[in-house]
Amino acid sequence: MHDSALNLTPLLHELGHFVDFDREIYKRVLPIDIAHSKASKTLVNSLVRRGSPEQEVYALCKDIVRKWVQELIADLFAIRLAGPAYFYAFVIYAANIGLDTEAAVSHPSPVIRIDLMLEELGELGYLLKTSPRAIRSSLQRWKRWIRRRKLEPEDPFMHLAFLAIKDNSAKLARSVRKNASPRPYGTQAYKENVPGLVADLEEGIPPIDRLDAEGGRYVPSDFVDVLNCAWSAYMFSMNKLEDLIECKPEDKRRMAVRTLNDLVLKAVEASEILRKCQALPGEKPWPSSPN
Amino acid sequence: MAVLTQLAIRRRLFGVKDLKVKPLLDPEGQIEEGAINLTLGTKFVIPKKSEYPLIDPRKLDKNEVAKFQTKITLALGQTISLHPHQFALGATFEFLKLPPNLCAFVLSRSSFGRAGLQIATATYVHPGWQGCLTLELQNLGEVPIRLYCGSPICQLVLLEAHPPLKKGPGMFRRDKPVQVFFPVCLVLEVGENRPQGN
Repeated sequence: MHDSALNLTPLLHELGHFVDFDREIYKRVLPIDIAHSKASKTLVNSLVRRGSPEQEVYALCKDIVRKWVQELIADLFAIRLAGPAYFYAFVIYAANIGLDTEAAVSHPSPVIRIDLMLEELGELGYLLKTSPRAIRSSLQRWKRWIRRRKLEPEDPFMHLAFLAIKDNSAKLARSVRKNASPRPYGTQAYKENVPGLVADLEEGIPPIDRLDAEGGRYVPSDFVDVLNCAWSAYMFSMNKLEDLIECKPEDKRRMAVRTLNDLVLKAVEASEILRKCQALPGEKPWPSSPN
Repeated sequence: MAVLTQLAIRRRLFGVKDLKVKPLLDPEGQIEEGAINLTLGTKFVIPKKSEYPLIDPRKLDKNEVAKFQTKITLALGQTISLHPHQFALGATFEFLKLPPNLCAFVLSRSSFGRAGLQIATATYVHPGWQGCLTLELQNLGEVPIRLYCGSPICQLVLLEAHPPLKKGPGMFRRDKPVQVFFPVCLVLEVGENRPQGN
């Protein structure tokens, strides 16, 4: 994990779990009434008719709901913290394991998660005309793709859990918004910070910092800005990095990804060190030398 | 060929912005009259005293490099001790990008020089080059030297190159590894660039 810059992004999901447990966000969502809707009641009745005791249906379903809610809270947290970077990290991961992978007891299926993330990105403004065009177009393509997918799991217990969570998705999103980062990563933050960093990266320069408006002080890049810059370059402009590389055509893509990785890791390390040095004016973590 | 003075360096960094030195942890202290002080990075490649009797660049397989070199990463402010006659590869913490009309020389800082530290042997930086400079650190003295990651270790003297290159050599020729994060390994460079029979 530590040697791949793009793979740093899923850490935000794990951070979401930590925040969820720390702030007990899940307790604001759970318990969820399993057989609240008519469709859910029908499904419960059909399971009972097939021989499952009613109490067992509820117990198993509650367990799935609890686990899925915690996963979805972590996803929403990561989306609000890092915007499109987390979305792209997740869809690339999901594409590798298979976008149509079925849900498991521990995790909802990729399509359920992608659907929820797209809703949240919409809430953050990434589907509006004012959002960056490349991001908006790509998210709209994902939106069209998800409309053609069947979200409901085949397994009846998981189907029941899905319906219960779907009925409470607004409550889930509200709870995360209220208890997650006070500064969600909306389009404004993206537009202010990311395009300049992407321009650096496309020139083969690590996106460590930028000069402030007066041009006299370097402002270190935020970690989430670097991740968004990395994913934007990876998704939309790898050809520019490939153009900088002189090697066999068949090796270009692989080399460009390796170079992107090196540049982004350098930016993550150096921006953090720059921030620490600026926070301690006059103090340095090393002794001064006479010359 | 004229050496860039402090004013000219500042103009290139903050005005024209065609010279990139990132990050500058202490811009006031690092940009001196006629040079930029560069600091020691946090990544090192230390040669291992392994079972290999000698390094023969022509016969060495690239994948075997790791067998006699160890990569280490330290935190800023941490130290590495270089024992008498010990050799290690380091890199500048700063990432450089020179415009096509500037070239540079990397020079030791005299205080380190007096202690017996040699920081580089290939000291010329081509116009248009970009990357973190690899430092060939060697303690030529008789007592160990403690080096602090993040401390100013060498000077970059910039000179105007005339006429400017149309296209810089760039850091991205993939016959050489990129010098962004870890310093470039010794043998890869020597082995791949030396013509056969020389």
